[in-house]
Amino acid sequence: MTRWLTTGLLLLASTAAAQGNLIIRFLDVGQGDAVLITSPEGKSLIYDGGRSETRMRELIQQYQIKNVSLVAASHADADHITGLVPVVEQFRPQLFLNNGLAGTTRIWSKLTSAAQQAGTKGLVAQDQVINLGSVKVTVIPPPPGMKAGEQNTHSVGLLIQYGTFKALMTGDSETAETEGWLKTYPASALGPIDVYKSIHHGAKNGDHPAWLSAVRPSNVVISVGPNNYGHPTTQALALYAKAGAAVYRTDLNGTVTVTVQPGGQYTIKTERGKSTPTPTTQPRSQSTPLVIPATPPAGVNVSYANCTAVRAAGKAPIRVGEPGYSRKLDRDGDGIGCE
Amino acid sequence: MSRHKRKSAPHPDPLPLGLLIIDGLEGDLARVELPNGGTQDIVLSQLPAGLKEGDVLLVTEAGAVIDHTETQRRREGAQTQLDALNAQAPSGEIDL
Repeated sequence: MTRWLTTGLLLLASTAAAQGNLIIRFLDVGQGDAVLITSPEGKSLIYDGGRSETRMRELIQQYQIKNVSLVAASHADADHITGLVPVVEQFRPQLFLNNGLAGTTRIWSKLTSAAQQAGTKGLVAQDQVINLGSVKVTVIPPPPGMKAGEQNTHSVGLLIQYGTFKALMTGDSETAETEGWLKTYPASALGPIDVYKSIHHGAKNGDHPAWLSAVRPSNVVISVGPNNYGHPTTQALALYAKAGAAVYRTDLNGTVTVTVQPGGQYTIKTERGKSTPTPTTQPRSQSTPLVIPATPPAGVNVSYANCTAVRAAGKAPIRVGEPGYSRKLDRDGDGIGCE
Repeated sequence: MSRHKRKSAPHPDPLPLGLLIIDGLEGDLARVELPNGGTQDIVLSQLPAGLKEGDVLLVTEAGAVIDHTETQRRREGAQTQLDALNAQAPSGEIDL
């Protein structure tokens, strides 16, 4: 039965691709960023890879990823690049987009060595257009004047365009970088944005009013998992609310999937929790903000003493957002307990 | 009369020994890469003052110090490797 269902879903996925849809998946990788972008022609790029090689291998299987033409590291932090290693090893992409600023960590070294072994060419971010099949990807390089050696303020951004649809992602950039971009690009080149990836997992030094008033996001996706940093901050959430944007969070909603039709109409679906019920297209006011509950809904107040209890209940592995998940069950803090 | 035992401040966990690399700084925390490749958040007050992202720390029983030589060696080596990787990048509009 499951097999037939799986086959059916795969057929549906193939049909969607044949009809010319762009699919953007904000992958649930725990605390970190990872975005899989697949063109109507079946070409994929991955923007950041999250903090776990194991988790990325699971996602490669789950989404039946067949090829990746380009991997992009917004910057060299481990929660953005670790999952790129298995992607490079498995798919040998043509290009590895990066900010030109090497990291000193072992995982950075592993990634660049993997790229070298795979014959993947490096590509330093500059004002450049990359056509992922019929999808236009504009690279947004760090603006001039960023402090030397800082990874966050050298984050590489990507603007994704398909028909009238626009998505924007800008890594862990901080105020200095977004202010630099505001001086570099006219506001009309940045927004309005249909789907926007929250800067730096909703940190307080990321998004700010001047930047958001240029971006004018309809929907914000926060890639976030269990963390010690207070992400997403109440300040960031308040900014998105003030912008009138619907908010999705990978810690609460799991992987968030955006399907874009050739004209630019799009739908957003979540792995868990509420999804936006109707296509959020023009006019922007049709977009229905998703109110994320601060506490779990009634009826899901389950707790497990340990992983033995989780396994006995047939719930292992247990993911963040699922009833009974707790930090004590998730030793490595990747959002998946009792792995 | 009840006697309340005064709570002592919790002792921070001992630092992991070996070469730690500062992956990122997040407020009062440093995210460090451990020798086994995993990462751990450590309160900055437990680490040497003035450390920067990318620094290599040598942690022994005697304490933690910034290993400037190893930091420089890793920084230069990684940059050379990345520059070599980036040397053959295509220019102009790219079709994938």
